[in-house]
Amino acid sequence: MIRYTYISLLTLFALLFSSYANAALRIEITGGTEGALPIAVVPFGWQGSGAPPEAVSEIIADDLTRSGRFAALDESQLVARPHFGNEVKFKTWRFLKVENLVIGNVRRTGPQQFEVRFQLFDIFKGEQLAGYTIPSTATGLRRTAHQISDIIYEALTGEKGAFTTRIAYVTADGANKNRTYFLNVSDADGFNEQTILRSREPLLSPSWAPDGRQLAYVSFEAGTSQIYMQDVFRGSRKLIASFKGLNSAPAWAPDGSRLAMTLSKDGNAEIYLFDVATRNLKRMTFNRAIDTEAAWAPDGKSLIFTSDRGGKPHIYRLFVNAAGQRGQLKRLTFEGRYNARASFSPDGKLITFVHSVNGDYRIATQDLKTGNVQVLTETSLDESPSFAPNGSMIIYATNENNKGVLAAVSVDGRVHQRLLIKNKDVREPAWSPFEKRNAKGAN
Amino acid sequence: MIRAIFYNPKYLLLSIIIHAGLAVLLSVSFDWSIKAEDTPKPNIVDAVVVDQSKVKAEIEKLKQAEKKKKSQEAERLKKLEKKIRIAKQKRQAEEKRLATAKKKRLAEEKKRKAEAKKLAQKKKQEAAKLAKIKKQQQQLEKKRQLESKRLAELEKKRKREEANKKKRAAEEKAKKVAAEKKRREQALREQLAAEERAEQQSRYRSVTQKYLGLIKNKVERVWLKPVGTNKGLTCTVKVKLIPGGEVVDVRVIKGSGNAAFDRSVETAVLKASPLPVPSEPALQQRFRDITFEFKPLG
Repeated sequence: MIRYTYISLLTLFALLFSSYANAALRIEITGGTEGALPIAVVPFGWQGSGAPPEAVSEIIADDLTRSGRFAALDESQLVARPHFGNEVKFKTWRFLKVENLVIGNVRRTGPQQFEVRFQLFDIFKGEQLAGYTIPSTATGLRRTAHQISDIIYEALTGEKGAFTTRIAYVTADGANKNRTYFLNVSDADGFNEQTILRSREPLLSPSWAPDGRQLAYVSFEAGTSQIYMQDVFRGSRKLIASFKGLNSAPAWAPDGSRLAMTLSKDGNAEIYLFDVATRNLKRMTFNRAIDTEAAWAPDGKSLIFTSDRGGKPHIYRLFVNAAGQRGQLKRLTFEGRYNARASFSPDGKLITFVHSVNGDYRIATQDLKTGNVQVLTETSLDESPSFAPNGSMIIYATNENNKGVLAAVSVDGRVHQRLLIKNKDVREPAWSPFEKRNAKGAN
Repeated sequence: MIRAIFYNPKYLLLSIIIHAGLAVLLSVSFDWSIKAEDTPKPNIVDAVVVDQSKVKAEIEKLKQAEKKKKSQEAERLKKLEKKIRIAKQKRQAEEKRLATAKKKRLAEEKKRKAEAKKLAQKKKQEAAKLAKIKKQQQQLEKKRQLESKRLAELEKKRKREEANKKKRAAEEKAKKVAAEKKRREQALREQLAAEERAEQQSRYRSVTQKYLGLIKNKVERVWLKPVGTNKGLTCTVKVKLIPGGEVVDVRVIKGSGNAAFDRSVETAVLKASPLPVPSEPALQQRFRDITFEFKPLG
């Protein structure tokens, strides 16, 4: 009798227990929408006379949007315009389904001195994720804005932002006899353009040194191709290759000690290594086909280059040791009739290159491990792809109305954008590495 | 005996002779104690008559003898007196002795009497003691009787209690039986309730499934995955709700390694708050802790 009661109680308890406590509810979420994170960047407050020299918050909003990872709310959608943390009402912002909020304030602290304060909030958690006060100058405000974009980007994605990096590119202006070529360096958003070289003859192939200060490039200013190296900030330059025949496609090794380049001084276009300190040359390829457009792996232990030794241009990889001795050679691309102008992603896992699909030249990536090729663009005359130093985007040049324009695509190919809208022919972009002080994240 | 001697001269002579002899004897040694044994015997000498000269001589001799006898007599008397005196002394001594003895006797008597008295006293004491003992015995007896009475009462009480106990046990048993009967009924009711509950459980299960689906749908509708990098990523979060479905806590318990992805997961759950939850309190309680596994397909 007692046992019977006991068992029935036990059963009852087990039933209760299993249904209410033990079997924790579990839900598997497989759906969802992939897209840019909505972020509200409230126009920063301004404390000073006249108008602020730069619209810092706009620069930030544009940076974030351009990355493809974020969708900054249009100003007209902003339900409130707080400038200080205690003015933020999370509930209000939640209605907009906006996930993050940036507020801030610019204050003039001297004739040319400014102080930019900003705060980043997680609206649904109702907490501050970042907040800094950064001193700046009238000319440095854009850069300060990019720094803030970097901080926000890293806080929200866990990856280093590349908004304070630069791009180098070549523009051409004028027609026929009046055609002038410019080698320019601008902020990653295309603003703050500085021309570092002007020439009546074509300029090609800018390549950033790993310190982010020097550029190597090809100039036809002497009537034939020559390779120069120039300090971006000081303007000083040095001729480093002026051999008979072709001098082209310089590529700085990751440690900055060597440059790979294409020379035809021996009769055929071959890859050579140029030692910056000793100016010694070492030939790397020995093939009667064309070998050109070398690029270094981030670890500096191998080069990739374009060669038509197989009949059609394809990407090959050559291992090179520190002494410049050749190692294993390997063909990397097999798809398509044309693969050229390859370069590595900062993590060394991908290469990007120009890939011909049915006569269109498009930007593609190939996973070095799996060999999978992904075509990222749908335009037709794409050229010179180059990874952003955080690996999130690829900048390239393409053709629009018979004019070269810069465009960027996210590594997954989903986010496309035009970078510069200028009435110029823009080509040969090259994304700078992180500045030396924060170069750590480049690889 | 002395008087007998005086009445008979023959005997007197004889007596004198004897006395003389006795005196001699006495002078030499006399012991009173043995005198009693020398009692004169009457037939020892025979007198004979003799001539005048001879009688004269005899008279003379007698005279002499008389004289001698007289002196002897005086002597004897003297001795006798002495003897008497001695006897008297002796008697006195004896008397004295007797007196002493009497005194002694009296003393003894007294002593005896004292002893008797003492004895009597002792006896009395003993009697008292005895009486006391007796009294004690009586008291003991009384006590014993009381004790036995008490014991008897105790026994009685014990018996009464035993009886009560038995009665109680019987009642208890009856109660137990009743309780068991009740319990059996209760168990039956519980079984029925459990069956009912099981039925409810299955209904709850279906309601739970329905709401899990609603929650999944809502979270998936608001989940904005970061651009690009979601392939193969999985993030598990533990979510705490309050009744009504409002999310009060989201905790990543197993991240994907991709900060942006994990962040999107947390935000998705918070964005979907309040989550649809059943209105029944029992089920709402169940919808307090939910684990979400975010596992994008493709």
